[in-house]
Amino acid sequence: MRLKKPTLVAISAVAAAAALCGIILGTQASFTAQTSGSPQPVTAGRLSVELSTSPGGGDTITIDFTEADPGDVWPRNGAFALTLTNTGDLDGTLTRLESIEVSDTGTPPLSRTLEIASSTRAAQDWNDPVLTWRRIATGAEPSGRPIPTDRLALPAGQDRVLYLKVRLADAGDDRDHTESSTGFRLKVTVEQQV
Amino acid sequence: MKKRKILILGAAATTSALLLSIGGTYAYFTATDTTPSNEITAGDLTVEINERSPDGTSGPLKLGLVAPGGQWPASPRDSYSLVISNSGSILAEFEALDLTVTSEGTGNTPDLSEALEVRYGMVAGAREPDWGRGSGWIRLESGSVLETLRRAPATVPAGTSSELRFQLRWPNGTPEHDNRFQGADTEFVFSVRLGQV
Repeated sequence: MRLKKPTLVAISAVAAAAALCGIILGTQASFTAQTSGSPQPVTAGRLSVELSTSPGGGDTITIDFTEADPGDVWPRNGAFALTLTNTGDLDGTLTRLESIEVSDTGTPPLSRTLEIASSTRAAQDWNDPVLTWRRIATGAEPSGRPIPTDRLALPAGQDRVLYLKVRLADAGDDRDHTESSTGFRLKVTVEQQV
Repeated sequence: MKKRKILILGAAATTSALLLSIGGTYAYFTATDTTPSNEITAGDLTVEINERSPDGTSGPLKLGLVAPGGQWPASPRDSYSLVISNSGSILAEFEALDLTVTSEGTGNTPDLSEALEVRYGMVAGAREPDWGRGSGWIRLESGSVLETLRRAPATVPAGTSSELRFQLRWPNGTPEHDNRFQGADTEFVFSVRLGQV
């Protein structure tokens, strides 16, 4: 029987396809083995800090400047206590203290005459000349600025106290702050210990 | 003799010759034998993987309380291990080695894998990893581990193992970025396929 050319071509194609299938099937016939491991969980910790100026609360501290003279300090005795509570599960460190949201009424602004200092020691000598006092605001930083502070370790679940003192600076220009007031908030930054 | 008689004699002679030939064949000696049964057994290819911590304990890493700036394990000499054992009887090669992140973020908390990086190194046996021949630090995300390695892993002879070593780290970002991951978690699994060489 003589086959026509188209028939021969078709048969060749089928043969070629069959050969390819043979190759593919041959590859699939190799042994393989597969398995998976156990789930590997990774969980991030939490770092959260709460501030309070009195036991159990974040009460506002009000200072009465009536009859105040340059160099006067508040409170007259001791210091304001700012309690930091680490409510997270990571140990932290106090790395930054700053005044923020400074608002003044009256001119010149009282915030630029008031100074603040901080200490991590309850028995701090507030007359120590080494202590750094910092204006609450300046013309360049009218809404707040960093306040020097020691680094304070703050373990998870524990409290630490930061002591603060405020004084009326001697500006040397006999500024009149009659009926002036200022308000500000303190912000602390706590970083996790790596 | 007439022609017909001659033909009959010829036919008889031929028949006799054929009968003699057949008789001769029956007279040959014969002997038969069978070889012992030839048994052919296929080899097997089996792969097992086990996780191991730097202290040598087995099991998933279960890493908790991670935070930005950290690296786990902290020392580059230490690493987590994925021990890949060819427990079959034939030489094998890696066909696939993949990592799959199986978790997703919840609510406003993204998946922790978005903050983490991983680096891989493949070693035969219990040697220290050569991180320079590994993947370098790359994002912790689903995909082929093999394709990240600068040097393809060696074959795995029967009864031996190779180890995929890895470390994790959390690069420091901005507080705004990193704080989104507080309390976040992630989970991933490795899968491996070995093929006959």
